[in-house]
Amino acid sequence: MTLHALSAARRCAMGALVVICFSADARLVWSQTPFTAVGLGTPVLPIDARAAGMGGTGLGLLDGGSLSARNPADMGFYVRPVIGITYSPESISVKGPGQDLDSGRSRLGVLRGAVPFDDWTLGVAFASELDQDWQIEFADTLRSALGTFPFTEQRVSDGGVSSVNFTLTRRVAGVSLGVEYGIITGNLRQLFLRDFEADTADFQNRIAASAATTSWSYAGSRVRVGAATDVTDRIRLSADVSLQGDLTAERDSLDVLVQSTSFQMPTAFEAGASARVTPRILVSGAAGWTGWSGTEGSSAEFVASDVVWFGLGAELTGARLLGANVPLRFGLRRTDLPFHAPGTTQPTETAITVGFGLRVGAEQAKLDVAFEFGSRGDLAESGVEESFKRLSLSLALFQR
Amino acid sequence: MKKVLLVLATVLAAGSCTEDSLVGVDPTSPPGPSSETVELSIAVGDLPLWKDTTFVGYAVPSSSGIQLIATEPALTSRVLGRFSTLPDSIFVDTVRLAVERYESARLRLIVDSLAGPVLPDSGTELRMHGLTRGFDEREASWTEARAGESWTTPGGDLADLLGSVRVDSLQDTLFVPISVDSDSLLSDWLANDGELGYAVSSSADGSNLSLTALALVFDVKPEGQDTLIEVVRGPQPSTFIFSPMTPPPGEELRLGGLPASRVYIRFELPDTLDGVPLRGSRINRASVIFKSLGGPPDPFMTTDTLFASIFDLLTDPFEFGPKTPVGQNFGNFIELDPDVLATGGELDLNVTQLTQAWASAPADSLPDLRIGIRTLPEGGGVGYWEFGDISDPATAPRLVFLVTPPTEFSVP
Repeated sequence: MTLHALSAARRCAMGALVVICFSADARLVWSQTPFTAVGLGTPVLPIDARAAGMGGTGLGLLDGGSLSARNPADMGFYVRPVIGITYSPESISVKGPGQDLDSGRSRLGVLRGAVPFDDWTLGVAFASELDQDWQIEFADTLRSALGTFPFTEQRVSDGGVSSVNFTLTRRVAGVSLGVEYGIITGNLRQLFLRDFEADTADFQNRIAASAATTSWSYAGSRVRVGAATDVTDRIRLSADVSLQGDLTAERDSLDVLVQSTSFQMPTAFEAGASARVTPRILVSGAAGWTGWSGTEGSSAEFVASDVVWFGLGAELTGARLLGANVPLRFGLRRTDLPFHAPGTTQPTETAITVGFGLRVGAEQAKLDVAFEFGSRGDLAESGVEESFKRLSLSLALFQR
Repeated sequence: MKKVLLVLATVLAAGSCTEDSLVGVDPTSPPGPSSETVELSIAVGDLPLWKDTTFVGYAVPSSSGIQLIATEPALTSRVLGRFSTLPDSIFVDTVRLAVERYESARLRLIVDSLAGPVLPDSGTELRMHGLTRGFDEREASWTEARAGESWTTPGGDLADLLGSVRVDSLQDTLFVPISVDSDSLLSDWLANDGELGYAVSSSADGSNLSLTALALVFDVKPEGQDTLIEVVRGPQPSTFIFSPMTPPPGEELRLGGLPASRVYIRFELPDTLDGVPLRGSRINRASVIFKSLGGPPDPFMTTDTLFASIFDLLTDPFEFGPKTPVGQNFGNFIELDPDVLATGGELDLNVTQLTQAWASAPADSLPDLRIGIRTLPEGGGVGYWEFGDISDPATAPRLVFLVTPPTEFSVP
């Protein structure tokens, strides 16, 4: 018996597929990998467009607050029922040694509503937590004793982790205290497809394709408590801490469990504040820490590190469009990313942000728009690098 | 309520994220679940079970689509036949009238010009003789008129010359005029169901003509009519005899020839091969590789490109023998390239479909792995190819697989 290793000679061109040829280097192992494919994926900022335009803050914002899925205590400042939804498409460019590869993704970042009554507020929020969406295609060639078969291979990861959060807030002596119970859920579909062309020497000599697919379902829980208060009518402070149980991923086939694995999920602290420094200028800042370093993968494909993040932003009011007040926003933010390849440095994400808001419908509805321009990682240091441009669109009712 | 919210959240999670494909990722390090396609090879002697054999007789000259007339150093062949369906009456307009007289007759030969007819520079003469001994069309050979009854003269006991034609150049259609009294000859054949038959041969060395059709064309005079009517009748039966006769196969595996040979195989596969699982894996390709023993001796060596096909066997051929019922064909026709096979090359027999069914079947209902291989069409010529069998490791068949083991999915 003989076992021949697959002779995988790269094709440097095949139609629209362009294969980048270079010698493998340990630090380049992850190159051209979208960040959503690293570790448990990319943590999704659960913020609305107002927060996104102000440096990704979203904690303790004055003047209408934020429908971000952060501190539940921030919901305690609403006096009328409120609901908002945020949609965030982004284009990315994954950097490679020879060529950048462009792609795009979109996600429903957060859907949040709150109903105040007396000193209490009940709320619910659906939020994206971890984005694991990615798909790649590449071309290669299988050389064998039976022929030379070019092939294209597609690998797809479709899904991620999201949460359903139930919040209860009470205002006590000017302080809003909030508690939130989050059900962590989600699913992930994985697909592998290798489609062979005919033998390069004989078009009638063909081999069958390979394909496999599976689905995972996620389950977990989280408790978050927070507090927020208006120190003065111009300054609001907000802080929260969240504790998570393990995230369980289960794979079944015909309703029979075939595989299960668990991940320790992190404890997180975050705090923020906003201040109206002039009648027309609101500044905000927020920072946080998430203890991802306790999370270990089921394989040695990645390491996880703690995350520190911060954001700074400002909102200028007074600009008008068609007679309506249009607040203008800008900011910047920086965050560590939790997952990276062994032997590489922890990647960071930085972005500058701009945005604006528009009240419509007798000012009962509010449309916020934010643009973020940033980058993640560093090809030389962390082995993965991508730049991104993100648009955030939020539509809210009765947000005041 | 919680269930509704969870469902809503799941729907939102599933629909909330979409990603365009990254095209052109470096193939040495793509992320995500995959499984390498590996090439595996095993000699049939290392399989848990391998039985092979050659069965003969699936086509004989009388049932083949050709008829050979040859006078070559390596091959002599004659066509034998009987015109057993001559009419004694004939329709004229709407009236059937008795045949008063067979006025004239000629033998019409359609030459297969694509089969590489050979004619010496000096041309040849095609001769039609009567026979002095009848023959059995399924058993007739160069030496025997029927089983156990030898010709007095090998090649057929020829009687008088019935007609001949000089052939100086190749033509698609040839006519051999009957030079004896047509009425007497055809009346005799009519009275005796064509017995004892006729033989057609070539006189000059170096000729070889393959016929696709042969017929008797004759003019009859109906009773009470002055006109002659042309009638065509084919021989029934028709065959050809040739020398040397095809040697019986030995242990080697033979495809083709006359009588036609098939290779029947039964085998079993191991669950794993070199540590790679076959059962449960995706069989991208499975091939039985035959090693040619080179060209057989003349005249059984062929320069024509033949084709073969693989088919399923419904029962064990080693119990039921040559009449084992056959099932579906697998895959495309397989080209038997004389340039490759004459030099000891290999023949790739694609058995992917069969092994895929085996690899994906439940362990308690594994299909039997049995195949037959035959040439297409069977009996298309006297040439055949021989391949090594399991008895000689140097030329024994082997199996080659391209296998993708089950993908191991994981979240990181």
